[in-house]
Amino acid sequence: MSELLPWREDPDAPELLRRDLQRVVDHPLAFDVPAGLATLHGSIVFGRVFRLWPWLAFVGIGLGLGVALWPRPSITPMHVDRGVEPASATTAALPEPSGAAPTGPASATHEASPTPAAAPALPIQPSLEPDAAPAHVPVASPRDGEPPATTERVDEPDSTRGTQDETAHMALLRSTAAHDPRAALRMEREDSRLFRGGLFDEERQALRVLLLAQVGQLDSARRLGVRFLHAHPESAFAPRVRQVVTP
Amino acid sequence: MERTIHAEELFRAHAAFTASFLHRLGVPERDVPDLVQEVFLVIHRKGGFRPGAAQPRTYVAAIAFRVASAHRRRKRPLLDPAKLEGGVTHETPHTQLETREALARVQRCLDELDWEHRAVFVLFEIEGLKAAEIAETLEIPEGTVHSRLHHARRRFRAQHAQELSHE
Repeated sequence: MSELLPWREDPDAPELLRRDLQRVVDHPLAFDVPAGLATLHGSIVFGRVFRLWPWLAFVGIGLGLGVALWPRPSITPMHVDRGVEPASATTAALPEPSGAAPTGPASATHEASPTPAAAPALPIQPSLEPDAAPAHVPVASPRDGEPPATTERVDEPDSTRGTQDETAHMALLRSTAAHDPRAALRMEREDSRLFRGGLFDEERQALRVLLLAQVGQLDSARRLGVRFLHAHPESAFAPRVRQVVTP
Repeated sequence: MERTIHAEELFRAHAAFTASFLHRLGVPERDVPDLVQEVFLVIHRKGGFRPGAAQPRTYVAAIAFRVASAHRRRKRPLLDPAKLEGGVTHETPHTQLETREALARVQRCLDELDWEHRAVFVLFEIEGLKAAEIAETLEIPEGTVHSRLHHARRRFRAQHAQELSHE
């Protein structure tokens, strides 16, 4: 039945019928392809973000809990002698023994000391390296007859607190991105300013590309996406960013 | 081996065809953009079009037909033929009026066809697909395409004559 012709091309078909059908063919429905394509692109990108959202939220919550439950350094003032080798946390926290007559706990916990029973009496140095502790608080020297040495008060470092804040901001940003890309874009800009060079800087940059694409700023999204891929070609977020950049 | 054609690439090439096909199937014009999106999102979720025996347009038409069927089952308002719009407007007012009337007339005639007959008729008479392509699109034997086209033509012709006699 390959010889079957559409009526429009069949001279045997009624003239008015042919003409009407030809008019229909000549007047297809007006359809804005570029606008539709932009909408489709946004839907695809948003769909990807939305599908990833439960996992991102799970990872975010996990990170937040991890940071919150991580053993914090004690705020109790610690006696740290800067001259002591920091390789061992316990010994680093100890004052040097006085030469003549070691007294009390100091001698009991020196690395040469074989008296383990006395060790718990001393404060335990947290896992932080002494050099990393930012606060310098002079406290009384344990050595008799010597001027007070500069010792460190190991407080919760700003970086840890900053990470907690950043994690909380990031969780909020992810949740906002799932339903309000414009608001998320504003939050992302603010967070990028607050936490410049932070733990989630790379994720924020990638998210900005996706969000810009969602709100229809495709040129900006592509420009930033190219920059992101150039800076982080091996990033875990690179495949999604690449999908925005690739037309 | 030919590469997969992604939804966005297919959209560029076949969105206008899809819009027109959906409209001729009776989807109201205001719903057409949404349904076109739905068609290509389905294609995206399927991972795009993998070249094989089918042509891209046939593949798109098959999905559009299913989307339109689902839309029809959702009992959306039917297309109002009086509101038909064509894509071209640089005609004289008289020609525009004639065109508008012709489009409305054809749409009313299409509305008289059964759903399956209508799909075959639109694909063959308006969209220009071959019988074999229609069979592939609608997943029916080619003989069924011919049979449906025969019935659709008979009904359409009678309805068209009736429309003209009323004017």
